[in-house]
Amino acid sequence: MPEQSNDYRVVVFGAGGVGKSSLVQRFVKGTFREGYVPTIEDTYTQVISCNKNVCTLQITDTTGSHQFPAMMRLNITKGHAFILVYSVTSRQSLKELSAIWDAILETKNEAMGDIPVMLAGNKCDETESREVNCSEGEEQAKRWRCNFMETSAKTNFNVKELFQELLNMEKNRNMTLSLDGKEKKSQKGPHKFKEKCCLM
Amino acid sequence: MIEKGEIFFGFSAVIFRVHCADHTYCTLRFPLEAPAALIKRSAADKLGLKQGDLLLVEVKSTGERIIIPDRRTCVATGLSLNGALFISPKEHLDALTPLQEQMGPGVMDGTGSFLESVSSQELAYWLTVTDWEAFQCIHPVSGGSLQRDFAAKAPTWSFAQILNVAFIVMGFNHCYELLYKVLEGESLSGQPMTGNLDVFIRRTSELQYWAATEICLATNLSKRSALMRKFIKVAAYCQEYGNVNGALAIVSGLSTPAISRLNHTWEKLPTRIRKVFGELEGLTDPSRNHRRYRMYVGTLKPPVIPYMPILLKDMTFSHEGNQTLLDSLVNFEKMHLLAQSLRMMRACRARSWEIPPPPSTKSEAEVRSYVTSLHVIDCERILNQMSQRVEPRR
Ligand SMILES: Nc1nc2c(ncn2[C@@H]2O[C@H](COP(=O)(O)OP(=O)(O)OP(=O)(O)O)[C@@H](O)[C@H]2O)c(=O)[nH]1
Ligand SMILES: [Mg+2]
Repeated sequence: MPEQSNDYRVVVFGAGGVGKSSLVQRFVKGTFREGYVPTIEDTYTQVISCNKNVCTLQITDTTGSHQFPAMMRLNITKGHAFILVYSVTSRQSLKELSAIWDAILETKNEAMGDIPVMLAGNKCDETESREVNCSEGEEQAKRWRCNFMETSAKTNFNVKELFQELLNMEKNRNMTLSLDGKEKKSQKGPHKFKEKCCLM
Repeated sequence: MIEKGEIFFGFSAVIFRVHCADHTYCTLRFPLEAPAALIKRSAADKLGLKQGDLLLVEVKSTGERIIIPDRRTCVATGLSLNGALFISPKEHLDALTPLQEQMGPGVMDGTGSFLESVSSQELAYWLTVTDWEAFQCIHPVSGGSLQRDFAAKAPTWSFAQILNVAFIVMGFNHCYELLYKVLEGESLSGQPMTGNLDVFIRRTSELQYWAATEICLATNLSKRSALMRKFIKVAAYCQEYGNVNGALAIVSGLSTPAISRLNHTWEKLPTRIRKVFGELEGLTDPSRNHRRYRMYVGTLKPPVIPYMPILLKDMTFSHEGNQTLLDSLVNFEKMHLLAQSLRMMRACRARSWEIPPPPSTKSEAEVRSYVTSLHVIDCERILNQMSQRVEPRR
């Protein structure tokens, strides 16, 4: 039977169509699809290194288009870390994250500082239709005391970094995406990416 | 994820998961009439598996693997109680193992304290309300379109079509779900729809394992015995309410080896309760072709929910024990045998179930949500181990 205790579970939340599945698929498979197929709930695994051992990163890609409150609560309960995705082309999608944030806060019922959460402003390649600028995302992240990045699943910008940064936030384990452990945390700090995104 | 209490049609969409050997999954939404082949293709696509020699498989909580034929419909409703759908390359079938959640509740998850706080009559009442809803949903499929369908294909009638038409001639327009269930495995043309019957059959086995699970989860002898008494009383009230299926499902749960061996627990029951159990258990006695059950049911007035396992067994016997065609003529004797079961089903539902609720100890919503979301262990091996743990063999 697959090892359960060794799993690190990441849950990706966000409104419908913001690009959750695209980010996850870009990260896991390295692919991108233009077409939109709404998700109900899918999981993916990726082998990573954790405290110099091999462990599985289990990613749950949730629905933004259906209402399944029971499933959302279960995912929050089981999740170790969360990625909250909005699209920079939709202010509404950033607003909708508040409800999810509240639900995480309520369910986890512990010092939120200990739970890794990344706020991701996806579709940052869409310069024409941008509604939310980078600083707004940063401010929201400050209020929620989580980290922030703008990403593009389409151009593969900051996708791997998003996941690595999330893992870096976990204080109880030392996790890296590459199995050989060559990638040093210091090389890829969050600051570098924030700068990069604000320059755009 | 299948909603209870709604009528399913072939086009009704259901949401379900398909798992890989490493327990990752994708969640799909398909109408019940979608054949397994289609589900398999879509799951492979989502999970990034190479199309080709893939199999759609049910893995039971026992670890048993059942390959689902490509043409099977109602895949999601047709799973065993805690069964889960998997997809796997043919050569890696051995790698499929049940999910943790299929094992059912753990030692800390017993609902004994809730059960203690609800009256037996109230539990039985709401059980019967939900069971009746599910029972009423069985085979509402209209015969009209099927008849037309058959007529169009008359020169190439299949075995099942001949049966269907024979029944239509006899005036049964709405019997397809039961017939299809009995004919499962025969090569049927068209898309057999058994969704509502499937839900009811699953419910029946859920009730059976519910009693066994809760009793095995109670480690304290007097609590266990109190639960046993509760289940017997619930069964007796179900019987009073005409829910013969519910009553006998619970009783057969109490008669499984894991429970019947708990001598200390049985000994602590009052004689009166043991007598009630004995009478109910007598109805499940299979001797002389379930004579006692038949005599009993014969005395009942509708509305009644008959014990589905016996009804299905009868139909399977009538089907398997008799040729459908005799010298290329339809064997109407067989049709009459099958029709008897269908007539019985119809008689049971001749009047609808409308009984006011008993005095309540809990809110209706609370009891209702409890009886519609039971979590049970459906693996005899685990139940036996737990039973040994609570009362080790002397
Ligand atoms: N331009 C651009 N388009 C993107 C990007 N990411 C996703 N998309 C497109 O946005 C649409 C929706 O993407 P999905 O990944 O399916 O969205 P989702 O958040 O998973 O949606 P739900 O599953 O319904 O919750 C698709 O057409 C994608 O091609 C991106 O970074 N840039
Ligand atoms: Mg999606």
